[in-house]
Order: sequence, then structure tokens, then C-alpha cells
Amino acid sequence: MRKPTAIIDTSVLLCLFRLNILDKLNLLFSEIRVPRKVESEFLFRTDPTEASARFKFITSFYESHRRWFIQCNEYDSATVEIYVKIEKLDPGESEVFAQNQYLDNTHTLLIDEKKARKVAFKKQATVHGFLFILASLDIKYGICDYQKGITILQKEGLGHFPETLVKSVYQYVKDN
Amino acid sequence: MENILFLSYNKDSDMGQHSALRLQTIAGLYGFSVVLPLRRPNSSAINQETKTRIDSADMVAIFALEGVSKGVNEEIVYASQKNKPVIVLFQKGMPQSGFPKNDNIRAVEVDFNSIDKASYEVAEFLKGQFSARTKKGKETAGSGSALILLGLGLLAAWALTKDK
Repeated sequence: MRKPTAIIDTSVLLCLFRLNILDKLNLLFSEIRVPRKVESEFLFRTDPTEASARFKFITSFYESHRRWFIQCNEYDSATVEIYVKIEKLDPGESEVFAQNQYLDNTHTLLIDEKKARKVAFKKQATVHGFLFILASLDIKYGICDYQKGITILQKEGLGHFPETLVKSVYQYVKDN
Repeated sequence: MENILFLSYNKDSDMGQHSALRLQTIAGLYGFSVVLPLRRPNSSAINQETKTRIDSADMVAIFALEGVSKGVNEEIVYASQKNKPVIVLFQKGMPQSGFPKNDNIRAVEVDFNSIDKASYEVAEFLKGQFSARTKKGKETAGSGSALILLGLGLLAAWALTKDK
């Protein structure tokens, strides 16, 4: 079966970057699109050392994984505005939705934020979060440790993952 | 309010597209915004979304190294009608034709072995367009120049290493 294609939001991108497993995403998806706003949210930091590290990482990542990890400019500005103003999503999330809409809603959305996920469900879009990705890479490929990854991120203050959610996502991936 | 640069390139130009995407990434690092045209696979004509992106921009730069394609010319004409300052960057020795000439459009010839003359022309043109009347005008001209000069550097790096 052909692997799905996806559009990634900033928080998922950041978590995968922190755990150094972004390159494993193509085990689950044949193509990952990075919206313009997501890229700039990922890059724009007040700490210059962190900003440089992220810049160095993302530019070389585009080069070395250009077959499946691509910058995406296909969106409609009016649609982005609608998601920002009506759905009250942030610009990065709004561009994820607008890109998917422009691409005939064919992509899986990789989003963690609760409000944005609700919008995705309302629109019947396929949506997965960071926990789903981490659990899949652990259970199906054995290339990372689900619990250890979450602990690392929580220590760094990245992402809030309630215990029940952590357990239920793991169980869901295991059962499917 | 952030300054926005609309950056375009000929549809089939790898060098133009690659450099534009890289500049967009670098701009994000500093909180600047670079928007690119929306390219549709089977059409070279300007579309409504590209017009909207030009409308949102403070200035327009075109990587037209090998000349100006029909689609890019439409973008230049549209931007000019909207009174946006437009800078068209040509590779030295290439024909500077196929687009209108007026006060808010400047063709700049780029010699990749020495980009200082082109850099100076870009900065002077933007200073004149936004003038020194206001602090905001100075800032817009300054950030626009910085972005376009970065773009010039990327193009030069590409040109100087492409055969290696």
C-alpha cells in the first residue's frame, strides 16, 4: 500500500527535530510538505545560537531529503485568512489547512494543537499528532523509545502530554 | 508591521527557484517575510493568488537571469500598476527586454564575479522609492535591500559553483 502524504505543523516538526528523528518520517509518509509559515515559526528564535542551529539543520535537511521533504508554497491567501480569523488558528496551522485545501484535501495533517485538531475532525481531514508518529516508529519499526522520547521532551518543556493520552495513543497504534 | 518582499523567477529556472526558496528560508530566520508566486503546472499566466501575494508585498524582486518570461512579465506589469517598486535582476550580457520601463521598475545587471555594483544599484533604487521622508520608509528600504542583497549572494554562489 502506498504511504500517505502529509503536511506538517510547527510543534510536530519541533518535537521530531528535538529527538533527532525527523529523517524517520518517510517510513510513515511518502512526502512531507512544510508550509512557509511553519518553516518561519520553526526558525524565528530570539536566541541566536538556537536560531542558527535550526537554520543549519533545516537547510541541510532539505538538501539531503529533497525527494520527500519539501517546502510548500501552494496555498490560497484568502483561505489562510479564513482559518486565522474565523477558526482563530495561528498562521502556521492556518497555512497547513489552506495548503491541504488547495491540494484537494489529499494530505494527512500532522498537528498537535487541540483547537486545530478539532477543526481537522470537523472537516473530516486525517490528522495525526506527534505521539502517533512516535508510537508508530517505536512499535512498527523499533527505532525509538516512546516513553523515553516523551520524557526528554517534557524535561525540555516541549509539549504537554497528559498521561492518559500518552497511554491511549500507544495502545491505539499497537492495536492497529 | 513586517515588510514583505514578493520574489519571483522564471517558471523553468532551477537557479531562480532554488535561490528563491533558500532566500525565503533565510528570511524566516530573521522574521522577514518573502512570498513567492503560486505556480500552476499547466499555466504560465498570472493567477489571482499571485496577484493577492503581490498586493500584500511592499516591494517586488525578480530573478530573471536568463531574461523575462511571459508569466513573469505579467507579474511585473501587475506590480507596477499597483505602484510597487520592482527590481528585475539580469545576468550580465543577457537582453534586458520583454517588460515595461517606468519609474518604479529598475533593471539591474548582475555580474556574478563582482556583485557590488548591482548591490549599490538595488539599495539606491529602494532608497529613492521609499525615500527618506519617514523612519518607516527608511526601514522598509533597508530591510528590502538586505533581503535582495542576500538573494544576490545566493545567486552568485550558485553561478560560481554550478560547474564544479
